[in-house]
Amino acid sequence: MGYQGIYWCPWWKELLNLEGLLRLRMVYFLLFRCFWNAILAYLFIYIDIVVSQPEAGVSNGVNTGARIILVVIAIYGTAQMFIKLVLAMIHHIAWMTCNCCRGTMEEVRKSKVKNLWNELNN
Amino acid sequence: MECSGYQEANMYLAEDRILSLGIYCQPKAKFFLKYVPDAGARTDPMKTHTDLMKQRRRWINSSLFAFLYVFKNYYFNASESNHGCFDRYVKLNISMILALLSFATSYFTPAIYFYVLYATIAQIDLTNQYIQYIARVVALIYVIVYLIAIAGGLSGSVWTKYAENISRVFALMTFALLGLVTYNLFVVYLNLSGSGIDFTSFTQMSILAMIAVNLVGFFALIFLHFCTHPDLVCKLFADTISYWYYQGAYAQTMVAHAFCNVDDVSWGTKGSTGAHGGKNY
Repeated sequence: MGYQGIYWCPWWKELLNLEGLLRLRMVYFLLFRCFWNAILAYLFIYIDIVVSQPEAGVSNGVNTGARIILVVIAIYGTAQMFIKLVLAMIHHIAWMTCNCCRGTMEEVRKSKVKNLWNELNN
Repeated sequence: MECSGYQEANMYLAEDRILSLGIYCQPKAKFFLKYVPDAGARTDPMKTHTDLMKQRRRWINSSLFAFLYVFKNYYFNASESNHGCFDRYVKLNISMILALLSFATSYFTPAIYFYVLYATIAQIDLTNQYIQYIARVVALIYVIVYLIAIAGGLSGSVWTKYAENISRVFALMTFALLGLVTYNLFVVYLNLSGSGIDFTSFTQMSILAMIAVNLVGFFALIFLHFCTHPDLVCKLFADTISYWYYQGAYAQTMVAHAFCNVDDVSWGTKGSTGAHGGKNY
């Protein structure tokens, strides 16, 4: 008797297939992620559109709406960028100016790697 | 290598994170990882969108599981090393918090992107019904396109041949969003076409401060690197347009594809594309 496909296979046997189970688990993960993203998007819209009426954001004669969530997202992004920028600048200035950091300069590094290679192979 | 499950198998595909933790937390030692801007490296770049998706699937999944492993173990592993209290309890914890924030941001990218897209269109003119309808339609298109990306991702590697079309739509949205954000900043928020900036307004002042921080920080960093690596800075500017073009693909199409194929732990590129890495997880 040849392979009959899923039409002759009870659904629970398909489920017991490990790959099928994993696919189901991934669908569950995806739904879980989509669910939390949907909740967050709903909260954003609720706070910025439903609660904050356009009249609340009239500024300088222009109706901008309150849009506090947009400002919060921008502050969050800017704060993260700022921390990373400062860290990157500190590391780069340290590399440019500090002698101990310049110990990793290409010429020094080359000789160190060469010595290590010789040690490992002798 | 025998792995106990797909989490561990994925984790070892991002060997750099695991090695970094292993080096830093070496028992009875005090090793540091140093920033070396003049380090040389050779790479084999991906030349097609399909190959890039396969490579990104490996990177995204492996860095996710490697991060979860490192976050779970770094505290106990670091206590076995000879690092000082400041390194172990302050610097390492701050690094991990920053990594956790990046993880949370990438997890909630669809919600943030959806909302920013909707709000930037809607606030062009809150009293104009047509603009409100356009904002809703564009937001709905985004949701549909993202769901197509998920459905395609679940269909496996066949999808990688067609996913480029979805990435093109996201690229269009990214460029439109860049234009809209710029318009909103100068015309809607700062009101430069009208009566100008109101220095008593919290929103306007916070936006001005953020523009200043971002622009000054970016150009300071560029200037700093221009002194030591002028050729790399020029390349950075030359590649900016293609970087923006691929932002939608990196943050949406490829993340959805990667998340839908957690069970595929093959290398994905350079000929090593065996389904599930030769093992079903």
